Amino acid sequence: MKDAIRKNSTILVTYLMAVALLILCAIVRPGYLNVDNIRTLSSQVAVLGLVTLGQALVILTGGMDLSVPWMFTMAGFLMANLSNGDNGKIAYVIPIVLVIGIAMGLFNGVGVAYVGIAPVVMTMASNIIFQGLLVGSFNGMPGGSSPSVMKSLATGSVGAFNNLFLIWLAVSAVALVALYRMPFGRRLYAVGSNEKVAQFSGVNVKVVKAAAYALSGLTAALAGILYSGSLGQLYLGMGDEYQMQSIAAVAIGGISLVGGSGSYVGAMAGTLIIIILNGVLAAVNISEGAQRIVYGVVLFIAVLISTRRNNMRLVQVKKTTENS
Amino acid sequence: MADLEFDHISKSFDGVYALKDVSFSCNKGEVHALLGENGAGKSTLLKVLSGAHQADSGEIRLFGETVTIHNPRDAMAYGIGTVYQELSIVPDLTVGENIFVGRLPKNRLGKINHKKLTQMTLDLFHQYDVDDIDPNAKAGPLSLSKRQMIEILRVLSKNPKVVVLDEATSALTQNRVQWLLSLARKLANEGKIIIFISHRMAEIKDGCDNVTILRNGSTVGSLSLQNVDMDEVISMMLGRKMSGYYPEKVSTVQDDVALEVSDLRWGHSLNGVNFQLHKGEVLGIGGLAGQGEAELLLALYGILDARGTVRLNGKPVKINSPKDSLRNGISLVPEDRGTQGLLLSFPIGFNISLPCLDRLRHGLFIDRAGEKQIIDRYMGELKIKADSPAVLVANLSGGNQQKVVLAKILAMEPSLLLMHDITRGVDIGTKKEMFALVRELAAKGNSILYYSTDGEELVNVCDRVMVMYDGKVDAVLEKDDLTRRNIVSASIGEILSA
Amino acid sequence: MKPLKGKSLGQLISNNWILLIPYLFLIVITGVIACLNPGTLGLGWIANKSDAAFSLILVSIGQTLVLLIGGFDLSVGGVICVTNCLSAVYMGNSAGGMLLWSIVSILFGIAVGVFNGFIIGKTSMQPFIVTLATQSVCYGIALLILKVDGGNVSENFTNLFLVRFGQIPLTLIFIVILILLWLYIKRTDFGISIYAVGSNEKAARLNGIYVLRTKILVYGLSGLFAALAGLFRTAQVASGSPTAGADFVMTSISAAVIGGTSLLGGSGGLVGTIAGAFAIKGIADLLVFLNVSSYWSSLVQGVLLILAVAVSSIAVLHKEGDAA
Repeated sequence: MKDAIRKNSTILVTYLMAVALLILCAIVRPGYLNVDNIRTLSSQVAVLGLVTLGQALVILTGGMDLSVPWMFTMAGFLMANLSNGDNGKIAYVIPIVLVIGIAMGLFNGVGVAYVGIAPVVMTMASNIIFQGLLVGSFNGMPGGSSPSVMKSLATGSVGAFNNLFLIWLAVSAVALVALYRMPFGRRLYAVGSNEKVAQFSGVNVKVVKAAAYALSGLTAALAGILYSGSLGQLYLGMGDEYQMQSIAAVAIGGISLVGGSGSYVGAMAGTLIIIILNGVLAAVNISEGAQRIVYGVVLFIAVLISTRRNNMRLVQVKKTTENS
Repeated sequence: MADLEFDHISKSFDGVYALKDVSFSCNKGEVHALLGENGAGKSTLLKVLSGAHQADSGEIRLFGETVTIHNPRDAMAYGIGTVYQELSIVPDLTVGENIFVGRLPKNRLGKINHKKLTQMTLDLFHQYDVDDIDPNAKAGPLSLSKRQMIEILRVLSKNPKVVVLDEATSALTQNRVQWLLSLARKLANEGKIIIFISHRMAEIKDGCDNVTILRNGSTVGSLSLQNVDMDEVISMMLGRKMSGYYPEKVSTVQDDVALEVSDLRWGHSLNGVNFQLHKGEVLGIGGLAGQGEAELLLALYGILDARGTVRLNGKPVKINSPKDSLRNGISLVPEDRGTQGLLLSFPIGFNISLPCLDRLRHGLFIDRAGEKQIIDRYMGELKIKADSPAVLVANLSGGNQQKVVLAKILAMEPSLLLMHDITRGVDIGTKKEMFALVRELAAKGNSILYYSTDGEELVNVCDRVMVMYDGKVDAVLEKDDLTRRNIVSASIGEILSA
Repeated sequence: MKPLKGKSLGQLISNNWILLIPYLFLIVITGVIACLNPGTLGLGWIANKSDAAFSLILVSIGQTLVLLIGGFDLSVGGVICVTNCLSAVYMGNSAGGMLLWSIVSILFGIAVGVFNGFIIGKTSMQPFIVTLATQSVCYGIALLILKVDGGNVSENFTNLFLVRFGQIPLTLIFIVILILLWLYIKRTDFGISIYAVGSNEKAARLNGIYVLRTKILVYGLSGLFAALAGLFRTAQVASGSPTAGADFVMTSISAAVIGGTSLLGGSGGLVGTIAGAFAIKGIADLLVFLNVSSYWSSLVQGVLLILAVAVSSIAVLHKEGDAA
């Protein structure tokens, strides 16, 4: 047991940070943590969390997905537009939108893995391409509205936790099983750690990388679909904040931005920290400018702590190799 | 009083002794070898000399004066130059820039004078008999051997009084090793002190005057290499008798042809390679650097997309990727285990099972019990020295790391093994185990293509050796013709006596 | 032994044609504009283009230096915002005021850059995250200075920067000076250390290059250029906005990448970046010219960015195939 704690101490520390922020919240604004607010926060965690899941997979392969904003937004709007409030259409609209999400992800995946374009550039470009596609096809803002089933799903809850939160946990569980119990997860880490070695070991590096981006497209689309039910009025910029927030969540969670190390469980903690932090800042009632400053500082400290701890492990590794 | 004296040097890390009362001395004009297994303390001792570490106690005296070395710059100031096994080449800078970085010739405004730099580099090349490297080429794409040369030349360009070569030959091809050994002799004759670490017994015997043997952090003894019995030297190193460095060669070659290669071509490096490899045979590959040896192995493994025909057990196969090779029973021990063979920050077990995950499946999931079995089996069979499969590969010695590579390969149960310098950077004891393993694998009916830059290895481990030149197989040596001298001659294109 | 090969001009071109991409873009764009609207081309037109692209060029120069050492600078957007807001709010109409607040802005940019460089050099935190955090803090500071778009920029300030000597604008002169400076610096020890650190940091350190110092200098310069860009933009737009800098981050990276700078560090250069910046501005102009609906313009820009980079990626893959 002691060993397990020591090995995962970084992740535990990250969760402790989240708890600390919650406590801070309760101190600063007693009563803020009522059931209603927790429900809201939990739904926010779910949406960011799903986007972060895909982002984590991509970052683990050594890449980055800057196109999540418009994959998310595209999915959200298509959901509303194609179903147009009709509950009956959900059965085929959702799969269609998810497939579109995968297709967008694959577009990134092919560009990065098969053409060799740097992930930052490819996804930066595809982000505005998806934006152009959505806005251009609909000549402005797409109309439509979310079906009532989606709305009640997104606003309903079980106990203190929003339904979407539970969906996030379920999807995360599946992801963790894939990462730790299936060959795919091992290959993902191998590719992120050293592509050459992975190739020499018989891993199809290109397929693994493309798959990671495809999955990111899938989760971003899922997040967009679920989100479209929770919001009264969809707006075109709704996906923008998820770009940097998802990357920050992954980094806080201890996953290295160069790939090959870190755990998705940590990224989940990172998601919690970001949302709770946003909640604290909103509760404290300081100006937007001050909020951003605090956000930046906390982000900095959180990642500093994660990096420090990960590094202590690596220094031990280096020291022993030098003595042989 | 000697020119360079190590007097009771001790150094420990976190309470564990790496060096204990190490004392020996060497003189100007001498090529002094430092021998010892991995973990014996050779690298630590050299790092103390070069300033990367500081000794806890003891003294180093150079030309009678006690030297205080706190960092690499101090060492350089004393004229101590060290060539490490780990290359510190900047890939995007040119050869000249890499050699003279920090001392680049500048004009009055601080701008670098490239013409002068090129001349300085060519002069240096001329001084040391190097004529096949372009001073203005970017260093990154050059071969491992050339990059090691740049590393060596960088140190020499500073005109050191003491030259330390730490496994400097392990990355070099045979012809360059000869160059380095004669260079070491030349430098010694110029009055420098040369300290030479190598795991290659032949080099030590041929190129060095005296040897100091370290074991477990202490000096076992220093002796002259003239008329010495190498077996005795080896037993001093190991602390016990080691008989038969090379295994007895019993021919296990069968008639069946396991691999037939016809007209293999790739770029400018492979220009029509033809050969046959039998079941139960160890076929060696020899030759000068860059004649296509490395590319041949990479092509057969599916890394390079080559044209031509490859037949496995009579049937033509198309190999487009390592995945294809593995499926066809072909495995490769790559040239550089750090960048091609192992994921250093991952555990032993993870590395071993990575290629064979598809075989260890229960439906969609990994069969953990089966995986553990395989890992334990190969860790045991290859005698990998580690507490458990969870140990990170980066924490292992060179020899053990190479064993993990072998374990990973054997776990796939290949029938054709491609080996690129498997004993590079591996200590003597482990090397012996590997030679025995290679012969054992052949005895079981496997076929092995064995590329080594060490001629003595080729002669002692292989049944036949094909020498490559200009992307083709130029000569095939076997039985009585298989000697080091003939390999060297064939490498440079001399026609063998009939 | 193989004899050394001499390099013919033809060989030089075939080895380095990737670097010509941004210039080809420019030639094509200019050509199209010339065809569509003959008579627009001329010194006056060039002058206008130079003024329009100058801010982007300044930021991209700083970004290029950072990319060369293998990093990222996301904080440039934030620095521009702060600089812009400071100037718009405090500068007033006096020469003294303008000078003072210009200096304050520049010092602020340098301070942010030095902080970035120090943290990135001293800890092993990823540049992406560090500059993301400082970016957030900068945005916050900008919001504290100026909540909404507004502020007051004196005409004199504007005229100072947009002055022309005959037909030749100050900006064009500066661009030429910067190019000459770069060509000189590239061949000094500082220039070599930039490429060395970006190419192989460990090797650079072992070779006696002061890595920390180089990083601090480079990020400091990036902050400096961002501040200058902010000042120029203030002059150009004649007002302040707390979101002034948002677009610059991604476009500066795009300009550098189109210009041939590798995101891995160690190769590229300023001249290409300047061409890339002109190319980006040129494409946007061209789309307006061709009356492409603004809805579709982002799509086109994204596709062109991918094309520009794809060509060089494929070429690099090809080259590696030959050499192995």
